[in-house]
Order: sequence, then structure tokens, then C-alpha cells
Amino acid sequence: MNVQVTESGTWRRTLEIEAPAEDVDKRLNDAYRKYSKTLNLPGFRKGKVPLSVIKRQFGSAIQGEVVQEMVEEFYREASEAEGIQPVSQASIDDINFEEGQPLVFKASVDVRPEITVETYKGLKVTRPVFAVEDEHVDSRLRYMQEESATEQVVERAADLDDVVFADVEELDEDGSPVADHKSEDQSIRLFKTEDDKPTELAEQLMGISAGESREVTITRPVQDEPDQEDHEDRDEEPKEETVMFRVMAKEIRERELPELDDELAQDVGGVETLDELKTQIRNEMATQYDQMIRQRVEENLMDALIEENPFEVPDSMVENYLDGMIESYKREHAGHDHGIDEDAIREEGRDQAERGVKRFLLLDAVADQEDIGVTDDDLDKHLEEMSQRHNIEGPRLRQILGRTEQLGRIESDIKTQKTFDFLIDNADVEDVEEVEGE
Amino acid sequence: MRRSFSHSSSVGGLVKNSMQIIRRPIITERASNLQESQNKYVFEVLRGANKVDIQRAVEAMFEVEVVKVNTSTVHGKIKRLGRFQGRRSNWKKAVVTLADGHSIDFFEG
Repeated sequence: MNVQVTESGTWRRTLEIEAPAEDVDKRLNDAYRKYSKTLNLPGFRKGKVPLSVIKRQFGSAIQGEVVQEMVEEFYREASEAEGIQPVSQASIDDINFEEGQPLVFKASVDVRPEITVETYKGLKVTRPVFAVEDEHVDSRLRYMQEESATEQVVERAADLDDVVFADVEELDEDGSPVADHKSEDQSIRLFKTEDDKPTELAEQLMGISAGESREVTITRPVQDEPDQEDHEDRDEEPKEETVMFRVMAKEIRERELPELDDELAQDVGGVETLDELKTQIRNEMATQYDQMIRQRVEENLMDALIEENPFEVPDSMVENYLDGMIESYKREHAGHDHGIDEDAIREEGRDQAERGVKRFLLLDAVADQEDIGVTDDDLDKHLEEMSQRHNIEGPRLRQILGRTEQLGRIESDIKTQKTFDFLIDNADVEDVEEVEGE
Repeated sequence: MRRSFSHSSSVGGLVKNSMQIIRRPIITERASNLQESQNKYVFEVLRGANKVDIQRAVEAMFEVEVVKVNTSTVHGKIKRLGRFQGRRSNWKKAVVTLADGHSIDFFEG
């Protein structure tokens, strides 16, 4: 087999493949013979149809099939022999076939870019510093306190921070109830805003007492599809509508916050004292912050790495990445019946996909250049941690992971982590104070 | 390749052209053996046609030289469907020997 490789693009190779005539003929004849064995033609006994008849009657169809097979096989052999790592489907052109002649064709394919990362040491990156402040801990404590508040029915008119226990029905413009828009036994809390003012709803319900009913008007964003509420990535102005409700108060309840003391600590945190609870919160937050910081540093590093080492990525890799994105988007949204606009995802996700591909290639290249690999020890350590976290015994965990073919993914995760460790160790990291609230 | 169907002969008092005399080629195991080993081609032909008619018709239709024509009448088989008995029609078979170097390709249109 004769193969010639030409570069037809930065990461595109065209293979000109010529397969010798003898090979081709042999395969063709094999195919004819195989066909004649099974062919049922009137006037002939099974398997007794002469090759000449088959060739004349079915020749071109069989040839087409065989050529197709041969092209695929020879392409595979050729790309292996030439050490080409395809990242796309090959496009086959110019198939030239005649009986008794060599089979000649061209295959073009995107290859995985072989990049050498020049600059990856001493990258300048910033590291945000979030320290856990007392006020963070306090606000978390307050939140916990709120969470475990108790409610007491009181015989008085509702005030701020009270809870109105009521039946609520939606009214249309004429003030008559909308069918099926009634909900019973709702707890409506009369929230106050940051500056101690009642919210729009609370203001209208202040002073209501049990047994009383009131009509309230609120503005809310238009809800087309209930499960899109949390999609904040929609840039368009949310539309608002004004809706009227009738609130029929059944009870007024006063909220009682528990004391911030050891007892609360035992209830919510499972620890003995309030101080212990505070330490616990502080540790949790510190871990969270550390993870966040690491993530930010990694992202910053990636930015710097991409910036310092520009290269072109093959389109087909980006497309593959986009396919993956769409796939996972579909999985996440499986069961929701809103349609998925694949073209929009492709359009908007292109930059992200390109970055993802670059990230993958750059990290891999750095790992190669620095000989970073995953040792058995690394894997064992990671699995050990996992088994503790998920409370599954080590051998069993291995079995599960092996069955779901996740070991490979874990290995590549560890490799990525190690590569990042290396990059961070060798980077010029500058700590930057960031305003809390990220 | 230009084919001439213009040859006609009178069979049973009716003038027939080549297309009507040669009804179909017979392609069977035996026929293709004859073809390959002895350059003989087998046809079903009009029952009333004689050897000369067949020779002329084949020569005109396929533009080949015919050396010899052998014919035979194939008797229709008796077929029954339940209690009804029937008979397939008799037909005439012609084995046409071509001169060396001549051949017919049935599959080419």
C-alpha cells in the first residue's frame, strides 16, 4: 500500500492512498464467490451460478460495496501506519477504481494538534483572597437561627415579620376569582427589606387579623414556563404583570427566634457549644473559599496560558466539543418539555467550546512536556478519599468505577489537577484582595 | 451499437420481425455452461419459426454470425391446482451456435 500525506491545513492532513491491484482483485473475487454461494437465481442451483453471470448481472453493486469496505479499511491502516490521530470523520474523495487497476483515493481528516507549549512557567496570575470574616460567620448563624424559628399563633393584627396563615385566591380584572388558582393554607411571611421597610406585599397585609380578608395587588415577572424561573442568563428585561389576590387570613402567627446559644448549636450543628458551631461554620466556609480560590486561579492560569500560547484549533474538535455540550444540556433538561435550540447553543457556546478544546490540549501538552502522569499511588490516594467520602469500601468502589468505565475519567482528572499544581507552583502568583460577596 | 430490427420473415403466412421471433433468452445453469464452453446461446422462440427464420432474426438483432441452429419443442408440463388439471403451453427452444469470435451480452440492455 502506497500512502502519501500532505498538509492541507494547519491541522488537516490529506492521505493519498493507493492499494495494489492484486489486493483489490483478490477481495473482489472473494466477494463474488461469497455472493455466489448464497445467491438464489431461477434457472440455477444454489451456489452454481457462474462468476461470469454474477459479474455481469450484479457486478457493479458488489463492486460498490467492496470498494466502500476497502476504502474504510485501507484508510484505517494507512492512518495507523502514518501515526495520524484523527479527531474527525475522514472525508473521502476521488475514489478511482477500475477492475485490474490499483484502487486510488484521497482521505482528508483533522488531526489532533501537536503543540509545544513555549511559555508555561512564570505565568503571571492573580489569586483572589477571601478570608473568612467574623461577619460571614455571624450572618450564617443568623440564617440558621431564622431557619429554626418557631411560630406561635397570636390574637392580634399582623405586624412586620409575622406570618399570615391564609387561603389565597387569584382574582381577574373584575375582581372575581380565577378558577383553579386558589391555594389553601399558605404561610405568608411579612418580610421587611434591608432598610426595615415592609415589602410591597407585606405593606398591604399589615394589620390584617384572623378572619379578615383583603385584596392585594402585586407585580411579578410574567411566568411563561414555570421551570425557567431560575434561568438568569436571559438578558431581556423580564416582563412584569400585575396580579390581584384575595387573602383570607385564618391565623396570625408570630415568629420566635431561638436564642443563639449552645442549645441551638446542638440542634442545628450536632456540636456541644456555640463556639464549636462557629468553628465548624468557619471551617466549612474556609474549605468553600479555598475551592473557589483554586478554581479562580485555575481559570486565570488558563487565560494566561491561552494568551501566551496562541494556536489554531481544528474546527472539528470544536464541533465535537459543542456536540458534547448539547448532549449534556439535553441530559440536564431531560423531561422538561421546552425545546432545545441547538443552533443557538452552537452559536453562543463556540467561544466556550474553543476554550475548552484549548484547555484540554494545552494541559495535555504541558503534562507531556513535564512528564506528569498518574501513578498508582495517586490513584489509590484519590480512591481512598472517595471511599471515605461516599462511605463505600475501597474494593467495592473500584469495582463500581471499573464497571462504569469511570476510572479513566478519574485518572485524567487527577492528571489535570497535577498539571495545574505544577503550573501554580511555577507561576508568578499575586494575591489580590477581593471584595467579599462573590 | 446500432441494431437493425428490420429483418422480417413470413411465418405461417404472417410477416414477423426479429423481435417477435426471438421471445426471450434462456439463462440457466445449463445454458450458461453451453455459452461458455461452446459459444451456444439458448432462446425461447416463436413456435412457428423455422431454423432459417431464427438464424436471420438472431443475426439481425445481435449483429452476429450464426453457424447453426438446433430447435426442439418443449412440451408444457401438466399442472394441477386441487381438482383442476391444466397444461402449460408447449414452446419452442432454439440453441443457436455462433461463429468463433462472436458473442451476445444479454444483460446489456
